[in-house]
Order: sequence, then C-alpha cells, then structure tokens
Amino acid sequence: MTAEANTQHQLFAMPEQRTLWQDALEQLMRNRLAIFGVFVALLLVFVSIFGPWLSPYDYTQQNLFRINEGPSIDHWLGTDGLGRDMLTRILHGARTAFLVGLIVTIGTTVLGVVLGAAGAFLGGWVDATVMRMADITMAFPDILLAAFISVVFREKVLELQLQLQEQYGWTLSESNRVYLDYLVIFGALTLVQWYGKARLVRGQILSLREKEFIEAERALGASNWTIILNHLVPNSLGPLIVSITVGFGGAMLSEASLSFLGVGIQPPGASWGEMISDSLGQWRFNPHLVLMPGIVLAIVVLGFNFLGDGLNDALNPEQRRR
Amino acid sequence: MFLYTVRRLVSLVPIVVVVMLITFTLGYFGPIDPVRAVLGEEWEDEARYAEVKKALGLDRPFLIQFLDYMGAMFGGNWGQSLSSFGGAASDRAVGEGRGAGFSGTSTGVREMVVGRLGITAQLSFWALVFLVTFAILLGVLAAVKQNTAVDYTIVTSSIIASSIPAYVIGPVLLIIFVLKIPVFKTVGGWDGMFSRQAILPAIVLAFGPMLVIVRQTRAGIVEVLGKDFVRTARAKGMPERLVVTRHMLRTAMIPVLTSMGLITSGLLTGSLFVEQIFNIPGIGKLAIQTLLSGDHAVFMGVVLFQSLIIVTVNLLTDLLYGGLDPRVTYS
Repeated sequence: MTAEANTQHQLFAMPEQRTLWQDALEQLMRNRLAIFGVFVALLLVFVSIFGPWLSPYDYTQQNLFRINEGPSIDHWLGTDGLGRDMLTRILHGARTAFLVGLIVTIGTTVLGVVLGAAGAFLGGWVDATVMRMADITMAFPDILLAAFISVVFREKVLELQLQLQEQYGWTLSESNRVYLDYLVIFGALTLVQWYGKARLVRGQILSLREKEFIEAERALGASNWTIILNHLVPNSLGPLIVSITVGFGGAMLSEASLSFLGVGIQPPGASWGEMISDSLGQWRFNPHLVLMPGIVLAIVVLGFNFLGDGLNDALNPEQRRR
Repeated sequence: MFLYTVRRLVSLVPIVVVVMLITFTLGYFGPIDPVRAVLGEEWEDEARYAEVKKALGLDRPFLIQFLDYMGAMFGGNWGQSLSSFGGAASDRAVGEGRGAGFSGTSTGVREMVVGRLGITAQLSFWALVFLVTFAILLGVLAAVKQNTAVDYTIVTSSIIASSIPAYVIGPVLLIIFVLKIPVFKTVGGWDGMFSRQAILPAIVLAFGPMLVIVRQTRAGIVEVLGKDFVRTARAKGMPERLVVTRHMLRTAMIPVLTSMGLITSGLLTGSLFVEQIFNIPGIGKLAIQTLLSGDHAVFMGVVLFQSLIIVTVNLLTDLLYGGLDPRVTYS
C-alpha cells in the first residue's frame, strides 16, 4: 500500500509530506495566544539564567534611605520596604520560579511515567498500589498537604545540613540558607503533584494497548520493546507534553502560593509569592509593590496555560474543541 | 444502585484512614514539641517534662498513639488546640489527662473547625451565587455564538480569570475598588454574610472555579444544539429563551454538576488565600494560622476535614451522575 502510494507520488507531482510534528508546529504557530506563551517561556528561561547580570544590584542588597520608592531611573520598578530594588528581586523571583518549575516537573514526570507505566504493564497488586496511592494523594487538599510537608521537613533538612557541616565541614553557603528552602519545596511539590501524570500515562498505555494497530503489530510478531518504542511512546507523547507544560506552570504557581502563605521560600530569598505577601500590608500606601510581582506572576502563569492549550490543540487533534 | 453506594462508601474508609495516618505522621515528626509548647518556660525541668509527656500520652509508641488518635477521631474527639494549655495550663493537662474534660470548650479542634466552617461556607455560598449567575450565562452565550468573536472572548477571558491566583486578583480589586474608585470603604474582617464586606472576597473566590463552569456549560450546550428535541421544541413555536432554559440547559447541566468536585476543591483552595487577604476568620485562615504557629492538632483537623469534604463530594458526583444520566448504570 505504501509502496504503491510512493510510486504514484513519483509519477505525478510529489505532494508535500508532513510528519505529525511538522503539522503540530504549524498548528501551534497559527495560535496567537500560544505564541505569546512561547515568548513568555523563552523570556523566563533567559531571565532566570542571565538575571543577576541584567541589574546592577544584588537581590538581598538593602538601602534603608530609599525605601518604598516608586519607579525612578535608579530603580526602574522602585524599591521595597527594605530598600531593595524591585526589578532585581522580580528577576531573581523568575529564577526561583523557573528552578522550581523545572525540577518539580522533572520529578513528577519521572515518578509519574515510572509508576504509571509500571501499573499498566505489571498490573495486579502493583497497579492497585499505584492507583490507591494516587487516590489518597487526590483526597488531600493539595496546597495544605504541600504546606504541611514543607513545614515538617524544613526543620529536618536544616538539622541534617547543620550535622553535615559540623562533621564534614560540608556546606554550600554559610550565611544564605535559601537553597534549603528550594530543596524542601521541590520535595513537597513533587510528592503532591505526581499523580496526574501517573494516571495519564497509565490510561494512555491501557487504552493504546487495545487498539487495532497494536494488535496487528503483535500479530506480525513484533517484540514488546518494538511496540513500546515505536507505538506506545510516540502515541502517548502528545498528551504527556501537554501535561508537562501545564504542570510546569502549575508548579510555579504552587511555589508562589506556598511562599505567599509563608511556608515556601523564606526571606531573604526572592519569590513572587513571598514578595506579594511581604507588601500586602502596604496595598493602600504603595500599591505598586503588590502589583508588580502580581502582574509578572499572572503573565507567566497565563503564558504557560495558553501554551498548554495551544499544544493540546496541536498535538491531540482528536480532542480539539473548536 | 444501593449496593454500589454501600460499596463505594466502604471503599472510602481505608482512604480516610491512610489520609489520617499521613497527617498524623507529619504531625508526629513535626518541628513543634507539644510538651514544650504546653510547659512554656518550665520545659527544662526534666521531671516536670516527663510528667506532662506522660499525662499527654506522648511517651507511648507511635502506633499506639496513632490508633488512639484514630479511635478518638472516629469517636468525634478531634483533640485539643495547643492554645488550650498555654504555660500554667500544664497543671490542668496533668490533672485531667489527655483530652478529658476539654471537649465542649472553644479550644477543642472539632469545635474550632466546625465553628470557623460557617464563615467559609457563607463566603462559598456567595461565590457560588456569582458563579451560577455569571459563569453559566457566559457559557450559554459562548455556546450559542459558537466559533465567533464572542465565544473566543468569553473562553479566553475565563481562562485569564481562572489562571490568575486569588492573591493577585484580590489586591488588584482592592486597589481598583477602594483606592481608585472608592466603592467600598471598609474592607477586611467579617461582619456577617449580608454585610458589604462580604462582596469583594466572594467575587475573588468565584474567579477560581469560573473556567470549569463556563467550559462545561459551553460543551454541554454545544452538544445539544443540533439535537432533535431542540428542533422539535423550536418547531412547535416555543420562544428561544424557553428552548434554552427548559430544554438545553437541563441537559447541559449534567457535565456542570459532575465537575462539582473540581468546583469544591477550587473553593476550598481559594478560601485559603481569600481569607488571608481579606482577614476573614474562616477555615482557611485557621489552617494557615495554626500551621505557622505550630498548633498541629488543629491543622491536622482542618486537613482531615477538607479531605473528607473532597472525597464525599467526589462520591456524590459519581452517584449523581448515575441518577441524572439514564445511560449510566452501576452494578
């Protein structure tokens, strides 16, 4: 059938051949909101890598003579209640958000794919255990569980770090312990957010396995690995990519939420959520301090949601809404 | 159907037990030592420390403590807030033993949680009123004007409304409606559900679940747009307004009702932030207060209570789905 089609193509004008990915890319480029999302994501990556070199201040540097200022030439977005440059802190907050998004997404994806695939392939008690674990995680109010985990483990991680330092002199930084907050947040959010991807992967594998083309492949004598690599992985990649994009935005949002509630990144670390709660008491007098990190957070979260929506339309054409 | 309901209810028990085990374990290994919190300054006195620890039952093995906690929870005694002890109160703890004699006062965890729940429920009620009026209307409008600029605008703006967290929308609305256009003079605090103070927080709370309702309503209406029963209703000369409300909405509400779980958890999560921003003493504020002050017993109570709400609503959704959609049968 394919051979016949190919000869036909050579006889007549060769029509343009497109793969699924080319098709998806073209579909994505047509979606203006998704392009906005791509732009936001690229900007976030750029800022989180090069942020410290983009501004002349350090994110912890205080200037008590110039507190709560509005935008000026020296401080483009003004200064906060301790005289720290807002723009610098927002840039550093981008680094926090991106790092949390990246590591939590890697964590949940690895955990989700491994557990979901294990459940689908092994079945039996493995599958039952994975699904019950997902049910239990789902039964929790996720922000509260993540907040509880981070409060409980912050203390433990700090103790561990102090012991390591005493015994082996091993430490990353004497004065700044913000990296410990990062560790705690990574762990807490990964533990709370893995189940979506596990359920997705499991569902994809179980439904694909019943499809006729897999059955045909099996009837032709293909090995399990051929089926997995050539059919299961490429076919479940689309939904997984969408879930990863949305999850990335979700992880950043959760970090901001935890920091807003006071259980995430602690001062002097910079996080958009922490900046909002820090200045919330001053919304009447210095509204810009609350608005700026808020607007940046909103734009980034929106960008990732639009990108996720666009990718969903492009990669999963059978689910297209419109 | 009855058997199915019973089976689902029974299957909830292990989930609730494991949820309890997880919260209990986290509280057990948490950074706050309840004995020290009870004793205050006196904690360095070793004999006294041991005495109070024994009185609180904290010298027993982990598993025994958990089973005791679980038994008490199922029996309706959710434990005591640390604020019930406070320094000198350690004498009372020693005198009366764990939990005994405390229930009925406002420092019992269950009383605290249930007492605060009312405020969150009232707030959520207003949020739901906003949602049912506006989100369903927008969803219907988007579906009727399917694939036009109106549709795209509605869907995109509800994505925007639901993506932006409450702690960004809240301050923005405060700045607009208090500073720029002074519609509200006093904000924050709680003065009953019919006071003006309840309006802004309820609106902010309604933003979160909006997208779910708009999307589901739109999808539901789009599905019935070309159906025969709609055409029949039109053909017999029924006014368009009645066709939409009587025939289309009734069918289209099934997907909305089945996303009740999402809406509930959206409201619960939202109340955490809304109550924090507007300083409303609801269940979300209680959770954050007690988490930060290390009053784990109360925080665990809130978490468990919210978990219970989530699993119950999910179960109700499944059962309701069977009741509403005649194509679904459970066996």
